[in-house]
Amino acid sequence: MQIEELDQRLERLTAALAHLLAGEFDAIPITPSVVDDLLGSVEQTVQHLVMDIKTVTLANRDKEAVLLLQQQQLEQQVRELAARAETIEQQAAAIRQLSTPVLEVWREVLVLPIIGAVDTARGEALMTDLLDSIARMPTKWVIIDLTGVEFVDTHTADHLLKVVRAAALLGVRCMLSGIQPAVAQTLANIGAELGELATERNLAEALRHCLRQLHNL
Amino acid sequence: MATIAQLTDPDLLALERRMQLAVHGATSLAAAAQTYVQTVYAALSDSLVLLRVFATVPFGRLPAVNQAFVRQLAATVPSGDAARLGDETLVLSLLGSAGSEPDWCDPSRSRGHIGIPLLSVEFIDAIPMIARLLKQLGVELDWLGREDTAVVGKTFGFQSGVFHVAAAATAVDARGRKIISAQDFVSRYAIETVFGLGGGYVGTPVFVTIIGFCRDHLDAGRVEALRPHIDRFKAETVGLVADGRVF
Repeated sequence: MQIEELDQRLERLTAALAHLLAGEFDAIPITPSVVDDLLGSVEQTVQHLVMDIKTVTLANRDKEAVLLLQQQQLEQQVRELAARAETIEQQAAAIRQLSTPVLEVWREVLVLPIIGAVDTARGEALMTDLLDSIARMPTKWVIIDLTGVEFVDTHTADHLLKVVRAAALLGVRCMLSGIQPAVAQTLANIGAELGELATERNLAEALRHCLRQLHNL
Repeated sequence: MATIAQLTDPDLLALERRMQLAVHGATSLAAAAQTYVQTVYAALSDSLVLLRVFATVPFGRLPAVNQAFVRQLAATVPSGDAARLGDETLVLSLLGSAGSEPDWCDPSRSRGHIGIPLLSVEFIDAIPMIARLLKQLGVELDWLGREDTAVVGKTFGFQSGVFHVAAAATAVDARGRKIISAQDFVSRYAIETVFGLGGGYVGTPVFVTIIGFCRDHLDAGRVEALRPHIDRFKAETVGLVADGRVF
């Protein structure tokens, strides 16, 4: 082999290895014919190395691209879920507000109609809303109407009594109306202390009671 | 010449490299696919009866002759699936073919498999082998009908997988249908095992699939050993796909 040819082949090998290290696979010439000599076997080995590394590198790039795509998809899903959660929270807040309306039915008389069960969260919301209303409006009586409550448990009774006591601290008297037979039975069974509370069969009677008290009739 | 089952690890590696060297420099994905099947079939013709390469290509990017074939095929389908055929519909297109019959050595001479339009889940499900092939290769079908050609690349293109029907003559799907429905072909050529290798080009709608019909029995591990073919084939053709040089 001529020195000149040897130089050229070594230069090609060096260039191939440099491109390989730089990840510039397209710049590496891959030729099927390899000269059958000692350097030829080195050239063939380098060629195999180039193909193997190229394959693994591109496969890894694919995996990275895929991971990026998956990450983007996950981020998009997280954004959508967060937006959905925010909507749900807004709706829940609206429902909470609607579920504990405080109505001024007469001057200095508020009605708190309760429908359904009162859990801790709703009990707290109920108390907050009522105390806010008492602070905003001149109030002497609050009628807690239980016509829409078919079932009470210890927790519900506790929440109601807390509301009553909190209102009393602001100088407001409370009374219950519309207690259903099943509710009355439960309250009696669980020993709820209702002695401090006036009760009436329905909202109309309760309102009449309040008006009598207000006007000393 | 050895059968696939007899290949040692160095044999497998040598074949992979030979194939990659042959595919290197192809001017289109179809040319690369044809070179691939010719090279591998020449090396494994004791085992292989037929070796084919398919790829998903949007209908609008198919040559006119392929479009005509696909349009005709879609028209034979009951229900309204034919109406879904549009430029964006992905078509599992035959790009390379080599086998023991002369007609099998040129994709353009295929009578029935030039292109299978992926029209709907129901349409694909009616072709048990394709349904199982796509499922095993990790291509879910729920995107069909969304008319989003990028969905394969975006959602499934990264997945490479292996399809394997060990006993082509007897294997049935969950509904009791023969997975390889062309049983006349299976018995005439004594097909024992059918395998597939698949992989997608990330970010493109192109998913390439190699399908081999063998006369010797291959277990799952042996088919798995052929999986690097997909990575090597993709390494040499990723640029072609990126440039849109499919045919």
